[in-house]
Amino acid sequence: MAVSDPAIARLSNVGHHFGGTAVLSDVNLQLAAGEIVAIVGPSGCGKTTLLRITAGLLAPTRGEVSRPEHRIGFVFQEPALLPWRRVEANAHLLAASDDGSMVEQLLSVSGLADHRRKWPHELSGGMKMRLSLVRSLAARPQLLLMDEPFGALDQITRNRLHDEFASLHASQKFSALLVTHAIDEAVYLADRVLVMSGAPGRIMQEFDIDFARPRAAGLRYSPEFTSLCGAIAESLQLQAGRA
Amino acid sequence: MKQPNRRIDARRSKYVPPLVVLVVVVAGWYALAYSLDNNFASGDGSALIIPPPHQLFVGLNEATVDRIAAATWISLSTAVVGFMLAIVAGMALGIAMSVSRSLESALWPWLIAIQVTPIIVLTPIIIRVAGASFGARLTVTVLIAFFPIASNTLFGMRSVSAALHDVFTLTQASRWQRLTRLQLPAASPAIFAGLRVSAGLAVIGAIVGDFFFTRGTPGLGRLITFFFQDTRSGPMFVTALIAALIGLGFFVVVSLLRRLLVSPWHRP
Ligand SMILES: Nc1ncnc2c1ncn2[C@@H]1O[C@H](COP(=O)(O)OP(=O)(O)OP(=O)(O)O)[C@@H](O)[C@H]1O
Ligand SMILES: [Mg+2]
Repeated sequence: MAVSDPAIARLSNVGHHFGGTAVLSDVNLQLAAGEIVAIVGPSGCGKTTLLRITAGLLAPTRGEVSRPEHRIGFVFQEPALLPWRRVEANAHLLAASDDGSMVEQLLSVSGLADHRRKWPHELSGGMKMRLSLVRSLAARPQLLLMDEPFGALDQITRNRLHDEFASLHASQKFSALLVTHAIDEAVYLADRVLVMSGAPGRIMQEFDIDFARPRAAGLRYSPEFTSLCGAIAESLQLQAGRA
Repeated sequence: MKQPNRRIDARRSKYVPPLVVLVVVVAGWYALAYSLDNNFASGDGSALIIPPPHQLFVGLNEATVDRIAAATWISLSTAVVGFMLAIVAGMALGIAMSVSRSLESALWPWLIAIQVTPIIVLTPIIIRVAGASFGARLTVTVLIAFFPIASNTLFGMRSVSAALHDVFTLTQASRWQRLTRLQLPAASPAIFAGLRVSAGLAVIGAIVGDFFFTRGTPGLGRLITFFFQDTRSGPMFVTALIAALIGLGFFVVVSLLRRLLVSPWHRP
């Protein structure tokens, strides 16, 4: 990704406090067009808050945010499905009407095609999360914010969806901010990994991930990959110790 | 082999208990009718207070049937139209209050005041103001029935999860889209719970309110008192039975709508 690309989203000196509690402090973040940035950090350090501020769902108490005006996708930490719509209707909810075949494609790679007539309450936790992801991707977002979207999935499904996500990203070229607790996931998917610390949340360290795309599943077992994961884990542990 | 047997067992356990209760009720009815002193006239042996089930339709001549039919029409139309108006008024109030906090704080105490007042006692005043008209009947019915719908609509609209609101915010949904595609569907289980209560209240309002309408064709409420004063227990019981059937009809219609619109997706 060329550095000269104009940023799709930019946070400048963003800080936020709820009541008297400072949750975020001095966050500076640029997201280039087509870039995937992963955020890792201890629980409660303000990752969800940061995503909500980036999306415009929450006005920060300090700092400036710029973002696209339209087509911001958000995969919430809890799958926010409409309980009164069937799986297929939820998947199509935000999609343009002529994107039907893309939605069908997404439903089948995420293993939901056979469950299309079910109601959300008839799905497992992981299936709900997949549907929530499908719904956001189906809207062809320009900026996609994801709050632990692969969290509730088994390793096999998770890896399959990683590759599906990466190939969709290759064709749609959206920018994404991915919050995750899985370091290997961050390294496998992202162009950059940001490590946050808590109380108040700030970005402590940044790792560039230069593996060529498309990345193959075998990458996960390469020494470069594992040593990068190790370095990030160490950095995270350092932050946790500090908090 | 086992499966169908189990299904029959399940069906049995569903229908047998109510049937047992029915037999007990009918037996008790007979026992009461024949154990009461002075229940039967010395002349023709007609029942005076409680007709045994097989004498229910004794004394239903054509004129009586016509009176009951006219009364049924009045009470049924009052209940149906009153319930519809209560739905419109209740939902409109609930939606309006969910949109505006200041409207809610302005209206809520007054709605509570109406709710805790036994509206029936206001019926004479309403008749004084509006005359002994169909409109007065509707007013009584609506005042009695609207509150559960209003409060449940408000409660349901407020219960939409923040995350779902966020989804609609991100798609830049209009107020109207948010209302019709998010809040009303999300509120529908609560609204139906209110409808079930209000349906019963509307029937009560239509039939009990009728006691105060001393002029014109009587509705079911007043007709029952006429038959009571004339010790015509058969027609009195038939009239009461019709009132019960109207209540049952309301309950069944609301339940069917709920089963159609809410039950498939809603897990409490
Ligand atoms: N609406 C709110 N009102 C008050 N405090 C809040 C609110 N939302 C979040 N917080 C607080 O802000 C801090 C950061 O919360 P946030 O949800 O952003 O953390 P997180 O990094 O996403 O955590 P996790 O990894 O567990 O999801 C927490 O201490 C939380 O208690
Ligand atoms: Mg979070």
